[in-house]
Amino acid sequence: MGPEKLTDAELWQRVATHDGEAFGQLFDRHARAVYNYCFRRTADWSTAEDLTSVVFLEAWRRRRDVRPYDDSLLPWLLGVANNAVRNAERARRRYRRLLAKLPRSVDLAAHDVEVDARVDEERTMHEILGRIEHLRQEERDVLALCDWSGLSMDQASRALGIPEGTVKSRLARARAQLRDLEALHTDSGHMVEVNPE
Amino acid sequence: MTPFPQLPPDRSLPRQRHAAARAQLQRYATSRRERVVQRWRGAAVAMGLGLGLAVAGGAAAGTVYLTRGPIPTVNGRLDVAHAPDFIRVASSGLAVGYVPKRYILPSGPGTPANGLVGEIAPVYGPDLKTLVGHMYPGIGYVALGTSLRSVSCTPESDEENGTTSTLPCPSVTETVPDVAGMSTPEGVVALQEAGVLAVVENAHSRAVPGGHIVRTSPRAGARVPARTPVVVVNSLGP
Repeated sequence: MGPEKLTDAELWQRVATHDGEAFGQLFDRHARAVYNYCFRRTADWSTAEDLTSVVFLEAWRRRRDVRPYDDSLLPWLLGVANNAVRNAERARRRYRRLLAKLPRSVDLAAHDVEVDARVDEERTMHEILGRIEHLRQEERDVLALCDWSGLSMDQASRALGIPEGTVKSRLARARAQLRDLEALHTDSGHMVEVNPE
Repeated sequence: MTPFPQLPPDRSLPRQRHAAARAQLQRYATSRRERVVQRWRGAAVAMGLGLGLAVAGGAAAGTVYLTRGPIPTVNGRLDVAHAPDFIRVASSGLAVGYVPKRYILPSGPGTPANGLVGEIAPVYGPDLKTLVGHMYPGIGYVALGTSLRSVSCTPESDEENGTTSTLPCPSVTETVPDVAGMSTPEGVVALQEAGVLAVVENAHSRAVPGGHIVRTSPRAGARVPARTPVVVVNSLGP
């Protein structure tokens, strides 16, 4: 029989009593979501690797503030990730001693195809970030949390510590601007009709 | 104009990075804590117990009252619930100052004290405002303006996986071990065990397969102060 599957809240209780294995299990569970969130905000896989570790180290440091929501720690972790991304350099400096101990993309070396794919993805993500650059930072935050990482508006409001109504209005504004942007790109190939009087 | 690009698909962390990060986090949450607990407990005990809490600062209206003193103990265990705002710390039996409790208090009731490992804690004078030095994890008190290496330091044990290893002080000289050709994670561990800090950098190499160590800087055999960063050049293949 396999080990019983503990909820995030139960695991976090164990983490609070310095249970390293529980911390490891939470890392296994959420590292991928945090990693992809960090990548989508930075367009750099290697920065995202560092920031993923930073998020969990920061989670440990701020463990007294942790509030698992609906038995999931992910909204809170992505909230931490959001701050880590904004202050990427400061966050990495804080944990540089620990980050220095981690090997850097070692197992990529053998897979050149994957390296190419990653480079392409970074280029694509750069382009996407460039196109949404004109959105306000707060709008980009809710867009990334809800549309890119699949949080509900309720969860995003927990992650950012703002009311759900605010998430809703920011998301609506961000999506509307994106729709305009896509329409602009689609239409730009057409002739603009001018009605001569 | 090009269409709006598709969001790249989800990926997992590279396997080795995941394993290494997980192991680091586990260590961070467990073994390093033990060291710090011991040190702070030693500091609290060294200063004598039962002095209770003292009130610092003036008593004028609107003044924020801050407490300072050692962490009280109950039945030999630290009574963190009643810890003052600033914990008194000692070095070689002499009081050196006070550290804000957020640097050393635990996560919840029933858990032992821990030292917010990985952070350097500020140490303030009796007025709780003047910075007099820092507490370095694994080293201890370093007065303001003093070189880390000149500080006398007692090697401490680090419990990992049931074994005990000794972390040397910065004043101790260590020999960089020969890790060229080893797999990078193995080499990093070997360097850590030798008492130096491994910093991994990548480079292409025809001679050394990917994921293995090309060389270190300083080179193997060099004598360096303990905890000195040693660059490990990891091969990315040709």
